[in-house]
Amino acid sequence: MADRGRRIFAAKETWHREQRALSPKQKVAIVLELQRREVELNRARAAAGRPVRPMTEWKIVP
Amino acid sequence: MAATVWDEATATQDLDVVVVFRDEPPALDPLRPILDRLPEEQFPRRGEHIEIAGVPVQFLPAWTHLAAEAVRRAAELAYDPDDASSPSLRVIAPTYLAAMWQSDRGALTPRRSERIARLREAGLLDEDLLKRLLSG
Repeated sequence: MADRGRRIFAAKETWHREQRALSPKQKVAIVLELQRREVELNRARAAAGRPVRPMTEWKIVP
Repeated sequence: MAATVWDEATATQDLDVVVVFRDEPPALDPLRPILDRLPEEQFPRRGEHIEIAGVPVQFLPAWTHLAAEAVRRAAELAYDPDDASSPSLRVIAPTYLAAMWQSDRGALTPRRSERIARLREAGLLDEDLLKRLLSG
């Protein structure tokens, strides 16, 4: 169990390291994708009568 | 956006641009020098944002000496290091971000605390500088 935990933590650490290594252009591409998903989620939230989170999709190409 | 550059990306609604004015701006309308250079017909106002090339931008006059120093000592990065003609960006450096978040007026949220821990773990914080900034 502890070994599994260590492996998961190491994988997460690797993921964070990879994230940090991305260029600003690559980060902007991720931000745009996250914005798109958030807006999509907002539609579902609104349909379910739940509060939405303020989010705007930037009209740009990275 | 600076946090996204140094750490993992998160969805953000706008792009904050912290500005330091060379001359003292009008006290009741500090952004006037910027607004005058961005005509509304080309750069529509959306509440507290100005839309620039499809991105809602919020200009914030540096609110403390620390914020002003963070702008002056911002890191300059290539937007796309694989492209020789890429424009460069000025981004607040990790130690200054951490100091600004931890300072009295920084609104240290749990997410920001996590980011600070990750920046520290990644060796991106200059601990001596951070100590100096927080004691100043």
